[in-house]
Amino acid sequence: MNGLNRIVLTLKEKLAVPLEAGESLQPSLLNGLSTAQISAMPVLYGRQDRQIGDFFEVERKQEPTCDLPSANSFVDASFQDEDLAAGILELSGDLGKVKGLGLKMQKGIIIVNGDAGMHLGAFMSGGCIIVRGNSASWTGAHLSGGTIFILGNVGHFTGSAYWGCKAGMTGGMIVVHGSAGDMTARLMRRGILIIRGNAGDFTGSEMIAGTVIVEKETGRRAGAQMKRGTLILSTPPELLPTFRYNCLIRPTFMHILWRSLHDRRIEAGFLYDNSLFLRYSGDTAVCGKGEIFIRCKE
Amino acid sequence: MFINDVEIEDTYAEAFRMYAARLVITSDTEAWALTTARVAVGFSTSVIGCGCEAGIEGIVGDTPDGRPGVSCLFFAVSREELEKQLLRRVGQGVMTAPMSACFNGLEAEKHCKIGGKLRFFGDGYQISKLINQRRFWRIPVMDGEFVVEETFGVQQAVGGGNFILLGENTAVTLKAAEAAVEAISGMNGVILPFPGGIVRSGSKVGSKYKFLPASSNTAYCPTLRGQTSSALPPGVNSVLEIVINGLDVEKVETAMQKGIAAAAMPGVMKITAGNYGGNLGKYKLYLHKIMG
Repeated sequence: MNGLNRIVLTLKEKLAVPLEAGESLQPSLLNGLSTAQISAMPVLYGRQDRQIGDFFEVERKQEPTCDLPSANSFVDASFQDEDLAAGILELSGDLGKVKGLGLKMQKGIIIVNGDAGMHLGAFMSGGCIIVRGNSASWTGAHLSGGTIFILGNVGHFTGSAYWGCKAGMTGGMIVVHGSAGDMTARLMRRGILIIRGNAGDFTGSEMIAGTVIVEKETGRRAGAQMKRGTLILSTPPELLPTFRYNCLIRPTFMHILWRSLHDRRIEAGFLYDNSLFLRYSGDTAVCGKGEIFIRCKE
Repeated sequence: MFINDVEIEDTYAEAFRMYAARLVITSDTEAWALTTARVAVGFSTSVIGCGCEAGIEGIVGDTPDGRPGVSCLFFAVSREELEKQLLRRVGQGVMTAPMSACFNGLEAEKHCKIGGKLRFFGDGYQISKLINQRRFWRIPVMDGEFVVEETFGVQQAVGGGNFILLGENTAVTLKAAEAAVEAISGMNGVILPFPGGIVRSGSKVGSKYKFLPASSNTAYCPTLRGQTSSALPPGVNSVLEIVINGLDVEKVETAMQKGIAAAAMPGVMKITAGNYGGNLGKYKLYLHKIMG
């Protein structure tokens, strides 16, 4: 991270209504612009057409460090060279009302020092987003590549599909260090979603494929109407009666998954602490080829 | 040239271009990983009759699934033939073994599809996992799941590196051959496909019989001395050959160098190499250059 050029946007004052970041706040797009040009970039504030400079102090910094907390070495491990080259966009302040940060992002790095609003990283296909606070609903909706780290909690519909769409997340990875709301990974098609805290109701509902890992409690109706895909749960949820118990197993692929996370310094130790897992298949109300692994702690 | 008073003939080994794949076979224990690997590489001494040439490269400490693993190299004359052979061997030799899994061990531009075809054994209940851009198939089997990678890297390689030990008697020639095998064993990127790494039935191209593409290397058979044109000096009563396949020509040459150095011991009268006049193989591996 040493000596990297980064653009720093600091929110001047708390926003009263949502600010649509849209596709303006893209690291790769802003990287080639002067601070004056960045300030003049259009954003939608409520129903008003405004400019970035109306809300943010814009600076370009060339500092020896990006001031990332050393505890988050996993973040550094996820940075790709091409993303570092594409540019780093750092935003500070209460950004809970800034919607669509990293929308359709293809490369680059966004660091949010605070909370982020809805639709963070929606339709993102590459790059890396780090939110040091919480993130609102629809985080990583339709994500197809890249990585999103949320160091706090996330709202509902993380990695899900927008209403009316056939598939949600189709690739990439979302790591939530806190808890997630309801309908996480709804209609997920591919990729990995890790919730290190609790997950709400209907986690993995209508899943088509992909992998969801929940390290603490999971809400009700997990995997409802999932066709395929994998839910790996650390604690037993209230399973739907349309799931069938299969067997007690230590799946070989679990270590491969753990290893891939471990290589990126994302620890999910319960995947590989010699635990056995109870395997259930379902939801038999639909295709029934999904699977829920529940860690057997004894 | 002499090494330890053993004459190294000024000749060359003629080696061929082949296609190679590396499989990492894992299991719950090293013993079962080895058993599975031995079955997978079984009956693979020569492409003449086995379809491929294969061998165990070594024990792997760091495997994708964290279990004990064995690395095996497979060689065939074409990519298509290699895929055909791997499908059979992974399907019949690896998948059938308890607790086994099979992973690609070679990063290459070209691939052959193995797990992607074997998955149909799962009868619709197979599950794929895409992890770090590598697709793994989980095929339900009676002890749980057989995990196999969708594709395996294939690269151009070298087959048929060799040297021939001419000894006073069987005991000393075998001892020298075993020493050569011991010296080469564990080398990265090479295998010795014949039984115990040693071949006694070296072949020549063609035969008096029209239906046979290869036949006994009569020039090196002690029992035929006097009946046919012999390449054996007086006093030689036993001949053994070491055949080496490798991922590249440098690895094969290094293996030959180590093997010849180890085999040059009292009782060995001469070390030479097999070639076909330079007309068949792409590579000429000169013994004097290798040992120089």
